[in-house]
Amino acid sequence: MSYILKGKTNNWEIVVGLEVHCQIISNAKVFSGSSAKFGGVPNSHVSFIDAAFPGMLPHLNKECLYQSIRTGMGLNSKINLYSRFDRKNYFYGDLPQGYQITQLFYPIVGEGYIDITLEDGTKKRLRVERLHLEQDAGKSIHDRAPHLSFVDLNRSGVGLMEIVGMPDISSPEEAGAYLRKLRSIVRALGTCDGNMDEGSMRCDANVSIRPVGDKNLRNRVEIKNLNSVKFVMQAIELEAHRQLAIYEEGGHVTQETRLFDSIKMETRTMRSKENALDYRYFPDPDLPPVLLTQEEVDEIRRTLPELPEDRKNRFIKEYHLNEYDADILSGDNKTAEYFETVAKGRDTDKAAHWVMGDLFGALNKLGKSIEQSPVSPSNLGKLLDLMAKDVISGKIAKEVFELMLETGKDADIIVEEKGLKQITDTSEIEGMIDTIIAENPETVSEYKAGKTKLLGWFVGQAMKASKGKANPGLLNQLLTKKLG
Amino acid sequence: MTDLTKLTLTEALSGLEKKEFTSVELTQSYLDKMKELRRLNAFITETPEIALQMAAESDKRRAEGKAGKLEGIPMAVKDLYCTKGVLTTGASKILSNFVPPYSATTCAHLWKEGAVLLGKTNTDEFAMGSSTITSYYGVTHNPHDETRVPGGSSGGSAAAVAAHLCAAATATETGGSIRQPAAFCKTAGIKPTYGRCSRFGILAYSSSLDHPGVIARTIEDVAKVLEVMAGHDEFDSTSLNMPVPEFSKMLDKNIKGMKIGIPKEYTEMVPEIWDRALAFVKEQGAELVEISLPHTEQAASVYYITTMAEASSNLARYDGVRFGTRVDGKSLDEMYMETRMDGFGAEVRRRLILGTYFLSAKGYFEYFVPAQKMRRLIAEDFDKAFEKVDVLMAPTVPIEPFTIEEAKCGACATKINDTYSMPSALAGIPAACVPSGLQVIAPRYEEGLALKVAQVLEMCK
Repeated sequence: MSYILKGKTNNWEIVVGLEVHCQIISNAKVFSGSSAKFGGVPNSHVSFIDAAFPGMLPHLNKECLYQSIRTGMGLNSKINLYSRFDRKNYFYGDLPQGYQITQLFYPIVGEGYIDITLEDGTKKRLRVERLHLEQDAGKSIHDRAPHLSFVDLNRSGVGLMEIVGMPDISSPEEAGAYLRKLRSIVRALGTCDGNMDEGSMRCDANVSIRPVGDKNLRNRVEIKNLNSVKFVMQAIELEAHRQLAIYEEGGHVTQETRLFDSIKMETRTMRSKENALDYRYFPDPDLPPVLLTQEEVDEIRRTLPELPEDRKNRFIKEYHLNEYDADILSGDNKTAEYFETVAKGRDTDKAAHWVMGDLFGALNKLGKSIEQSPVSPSNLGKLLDLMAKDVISGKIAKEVFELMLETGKDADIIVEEKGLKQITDTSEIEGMIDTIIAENPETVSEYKAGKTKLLGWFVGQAMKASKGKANPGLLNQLLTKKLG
Repeated sequence: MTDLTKLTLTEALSGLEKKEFTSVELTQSYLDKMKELRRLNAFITETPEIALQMAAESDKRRAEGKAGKLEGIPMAVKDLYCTKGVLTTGASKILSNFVPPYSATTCAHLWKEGAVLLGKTNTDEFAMGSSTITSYYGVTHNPHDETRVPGGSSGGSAAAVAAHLCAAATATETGGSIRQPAAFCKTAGIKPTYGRCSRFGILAYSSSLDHPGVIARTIEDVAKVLEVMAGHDEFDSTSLNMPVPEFSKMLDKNIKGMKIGIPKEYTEMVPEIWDRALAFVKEQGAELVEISLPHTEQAASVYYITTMAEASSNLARYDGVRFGTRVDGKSLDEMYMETRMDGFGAEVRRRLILGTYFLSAKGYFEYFVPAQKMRRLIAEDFDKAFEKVDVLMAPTVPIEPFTIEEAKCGACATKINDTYSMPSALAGIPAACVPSGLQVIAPRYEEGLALKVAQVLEMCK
């Protein structure tokens, strides 16, 4: 589905590349031993190294390096056996060293790609240029006092992976799919929690437009401060239209950095190219190059958890799901885990149906995540078992499920307590049928005269009499015979 | 009692072992001498209370039979080394109020083996200089001629050792800052292999060139201190992860059959002892071989580009935000500018500005990258030389110390000053120097060899 902006002079297409910063899940910061935990009392997770005290030196936390490698593998990327750290120099209150340690010249991870599937089923491969490992800055707080700024260094030195995408994205929807897929990959790998609202995943978008068919790239604008998938999509759309208006009026788009304002729904200039900082990059002399062996890399690959893409393919094969269901059920670890617990040894079709239908619907209504589900996967499994064994009907199952949501009780206990067990005793059902026939002679006559549609009415009456517990198959069979 | 400060470190250790005197007595002698010669301005901070307390604890340990390798030895520490609870300034106004809550790894090693801290020695500001005249705390005087400079940047350490204000002192070198002051003050010293001593807790000047080392009165003393200071440190990623040999046990004075290279580029100017020294080592059975180090002339440019570039980044942390002095401004940028303008001296500012340029988008490819390539060629000069000879012998610095007046006029910038030390610093290889103004340069990791040959040179009078 191509995304085209129709102008007066031309049809335009957009060109977008995303840069995503992912905070690494690790116990310790990337170049010091202090805790990398989110939040906390300001300046409580800060070592002298993080605060860049005189004489302090960085030392690489190997776990952060391995997390970057795992992520690179999730992006189908080349893992570089030689990588190196560089300093990006600039002054700011929350940057204690006066430079950020990053990897400009030799990143740990080289080219790779992310495959996305759009809503209409279109598939696209979006290339990733590189992933490099770097350290986060602290936080400046400017709104506590009129003439003072406060600095919190808890985040200073936390490991970040910057994932630089190629300008392969050509619609806001693709950008959204790219981000969601990336998020599901890092979550599956356990390398980043992917929470954009907490800032553990942050995105900058490089946006330009060009007339359809034009091969040359025009000036791009970098948009910062995008902290949700929705905002990324909105910002791209806004920015594309802003550029369109400029070009259509014969103007020129300047290369610059803009900020997205989600309240005013606009982007505005942060700094122009002329004011761009010279970061004076150079190899960090405090850190020797990182030299990996192929064996080391292979070992990391062997211990890699299952990736969403592989899991999806396995779901299709193992559980005979269609592509769409498999995609949804495999996308995130918790959902996949939940589904597999329900599906193992049961009717996988029914399992998928219940998880995606009743469960997702209920969670959505309750505003809860799958981890917070009042119905545990094993409990939902029990409910499916009760249906499979004809202990309850599908209809009663829905009732039981509602009660499970409310009470969190086990399915079999609810069925027992509420006496919802299906009636499969032929004589009991026959008794009920006999009573109905006896009490409604006229209807029986009508039925016998050929108005066979009335069978439904009899079923309804019998169900009512059994409080819905009569086995529907058995009931039908017996009714037909008796009225026969 | 005889003047205990006259003893070398080795002699003092032996006296302490034989219980001829206590560490408290030895320490008190040095403290008295420090007081007497305070006019030399060798120290920025004297720590008499700490010294006497450490000495008393040392005596107690010795009495309990728990003596370390430097048990009871009073030492001075260059003020670039962080010392827990003791003012550490880097001779800069910007750190004139900085008391570190930690010690440099090398210092921790010294205290663990029983050394005693007498005080912190003067240096050029952030080690930027070769006369100890850029210190915020004033110039240090050369004890042999107080109108002259002690050299630098480890001038305070060299002067303190030469004037017997300490048994030995820590020092640092990026391009001559141990060897040149050692020569100017007629003491011994060593700049070990890069990474042999941890840089953790030492104020960084130029990370790829900062070599912590030792200045003492004899080569044997130097060896004893170095083997304690050295060793792997997980907190310094560039520190060598290899065992530290017992350098002091490698000094067998036997250089028979050894090939000693004489770099012809280093003999343009030689000290008066030169010819006697050549004859002496030949007498001792060594063979002299002329060697060429063709990229010697480029070393100074490479040195200045590299050190200034790295310094411009390393010193960015002195911004007035978290420690050190601060001068307030109307904005963050103004605060930075005021703080750094006020806190740094002119020489430091000059080097930071140049270094900033060398790393700029333009300067990086024009200066920094070519300098790194040239640095490799300089290192390869030595690799090739060591295919032919075991060690190199050369003058340390073939000139007399400048007068303080000359140094203030910038005479220390004379090219010859660092010509013989910068290349081996850039190559990161060890070099030991003796009081007569000669040095021995050895292959990587071969401090033992450098010290051994240097000790033979020490015997040539």
